[in-house]
Amino acid sequence: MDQEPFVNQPVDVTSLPELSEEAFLPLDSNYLRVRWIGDAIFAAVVVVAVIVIAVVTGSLVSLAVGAALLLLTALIAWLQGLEVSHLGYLVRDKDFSFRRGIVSRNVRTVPFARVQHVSIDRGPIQRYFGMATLDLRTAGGGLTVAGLSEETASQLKALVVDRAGVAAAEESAEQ
Amino acid sequence: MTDFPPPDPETVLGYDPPPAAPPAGKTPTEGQLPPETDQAADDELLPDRILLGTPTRQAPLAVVFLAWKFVRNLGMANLGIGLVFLISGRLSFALLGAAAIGSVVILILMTLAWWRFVFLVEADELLVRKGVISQERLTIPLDRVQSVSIDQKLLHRFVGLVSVSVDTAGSAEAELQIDAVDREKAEALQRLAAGKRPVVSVGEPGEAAEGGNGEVAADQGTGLSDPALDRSIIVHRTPADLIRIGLTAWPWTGLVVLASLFTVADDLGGLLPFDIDEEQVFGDRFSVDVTPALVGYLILLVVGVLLAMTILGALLQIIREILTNWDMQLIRTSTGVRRTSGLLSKTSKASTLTRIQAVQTDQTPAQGFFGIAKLTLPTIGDGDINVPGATDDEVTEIREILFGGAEPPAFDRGISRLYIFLAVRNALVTTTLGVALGIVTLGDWRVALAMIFVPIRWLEARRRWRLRRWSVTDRHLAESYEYLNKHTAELDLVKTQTASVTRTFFERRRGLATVKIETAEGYLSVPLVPVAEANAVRDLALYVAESDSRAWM
Repeated sequence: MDQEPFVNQPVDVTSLPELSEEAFLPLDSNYLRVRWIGDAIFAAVVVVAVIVIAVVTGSLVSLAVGAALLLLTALIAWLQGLEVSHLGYLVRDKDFSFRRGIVSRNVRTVPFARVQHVSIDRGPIQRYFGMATLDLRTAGGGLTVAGLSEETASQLKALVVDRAGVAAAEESAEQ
Repeated sequence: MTDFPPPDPETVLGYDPPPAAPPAGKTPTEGQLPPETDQAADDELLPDRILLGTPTRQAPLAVVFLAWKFVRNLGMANLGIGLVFLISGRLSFALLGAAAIGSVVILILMTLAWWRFVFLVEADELLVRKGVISQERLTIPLDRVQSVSIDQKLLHRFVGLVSVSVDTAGSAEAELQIDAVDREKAEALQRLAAGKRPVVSVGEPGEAAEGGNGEVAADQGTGLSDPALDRSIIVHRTPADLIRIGLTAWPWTGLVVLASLFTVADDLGGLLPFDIDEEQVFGDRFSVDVTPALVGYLILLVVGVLLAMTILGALLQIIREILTNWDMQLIRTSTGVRRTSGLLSKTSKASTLTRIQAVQTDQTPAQGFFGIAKLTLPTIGDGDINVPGATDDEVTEIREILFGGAEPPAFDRGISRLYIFLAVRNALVTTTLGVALGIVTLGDWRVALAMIFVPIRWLEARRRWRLRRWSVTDRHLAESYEYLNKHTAELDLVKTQTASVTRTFFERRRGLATVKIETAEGYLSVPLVPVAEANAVRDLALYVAESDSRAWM
């Protein structure tokens, strides 16, 4: 069986395909609401717990702790509001990228040829809004994109499976 | 050598085995073997097939190993009981009773787990049935098996058993772990897995898949090698080497073994039969005059203790090296490398070349003086392959095997000088806070003397910045830095699993970024480089990973 001779020409780094920041697509517009509802539930649980403890032990320390937790949750919710508008994903011919973060900005890319496992998860709140989370796994790290509409998520999953399969076929054809 | 009658395949595995499966003790005849495999090869492997052709359990003593594993994971419970004992000085009988009942329950569960763990090899597949509560059935095609590692720990040697680790393509952890079986069965499994040739080729089994790089093709197929085809011994450690390695390691890390003794020393002292009544002896003389002689004695004592600890630590390191790396060999096999070593417990770890993700070296200053370093080859699956005391020539040879004729990394790039600024800034902030806190709580202004830490940190950061280097070529990314030890790492970009570029708040304001390339075992990350460079490295990594269609593993 013939295999092409292995060549290793120098690569012109300046002519490599670039990851342009403008091409990133935003997540579903309801995603922020999903996060905020989650925060609200957490806050409600904290309030109930604090009241119960305060009533049972009669100490005010729990009230202070509860107030601190609520403040923290509010802060987190505000930060989430800032962050969600920056979240974005990008599908290229051969890889999938996800951008996140406001203070510390991070762009993470997964080549389709390395994807070992794709899955779609739906939390209860996400399900209500018709959204889903796409999870890509490689042998070294992965990518989790929450806040996609169900349709987009399943389309992406089909795309990744297809491209990963193509890449795998290319690999075995070369051998 | 099972003492138990072999389980009936139909009831155990829950399916009707195809008529081709030979029952125990009956030699199979024509027409019963799978058609794809070569008849000539199979005649050799026939005894192995018969040996593993009927469902087998692990040896009965495997229960001990399983129980030991379980108990180790219950370390916290034991620690709790121990703590209670130390603090209260009494053994709580309730706890003791609970521990006793717990042990019995564990033993029963482990026996059940052992009883339910059954494996056999049939039609070129490894079938496993296991699980007490949830029934698990594993089917591992033998041609997907990339390595079968046989280990023999100390306990194994006493009873003549071995443990087996099966790794397959596409899994990052050991696919299957068999704790204690007879050596014959383990080696039979190894041979069966090595004997399975890739189906692509038609012809003699010895040729594997012809075309281009025969080495690569063989990797895809079995990954396992016939020891008879081993090519050469790359590295062989003599006892003298081991002593030198032990001597040049950091001595005090060996003392961690004794650390636990110090924590109970106080309690142990209380058990001494003679007790000194301190008040009677010292009376009113609670104050001690600080004379120069006393200071001298104290310094001598401290120096003496440090010296003793260093010598003891070095000795422990030497002993450890001898025990774990006795007769260590790195062998170039037909499909990759194999590392064997051990005095009391022998280990053998084999891997195909493609499962090796990078080449790393770590070198203590003392080892730098002798020109040796610890070479580590992170490998997909259980454990890495490491070569202690590797010389420059050995590193070059191993690099040659893994990277072909690639030039050694030039380490011609550095990171931004702002690394120093960041280090000093952080040190300034934390030290000032600490000193302020100290002055407020202790009321002594001399705490401010601790600020000397900041210029020290500046000098250290400057040195570290100078030694932090990296380089990138068409296919390789490499980095080198020095903390206590000098560390280098190099990887082929085709091993990229994910690539990311991060810009912290600080980096953003100065046009810098951090690029991180993750492989299946570990990652390489270069901080504080110009954004354009970081993006270029990321794009290059993606290009190599996406355009090179040879399998990366």
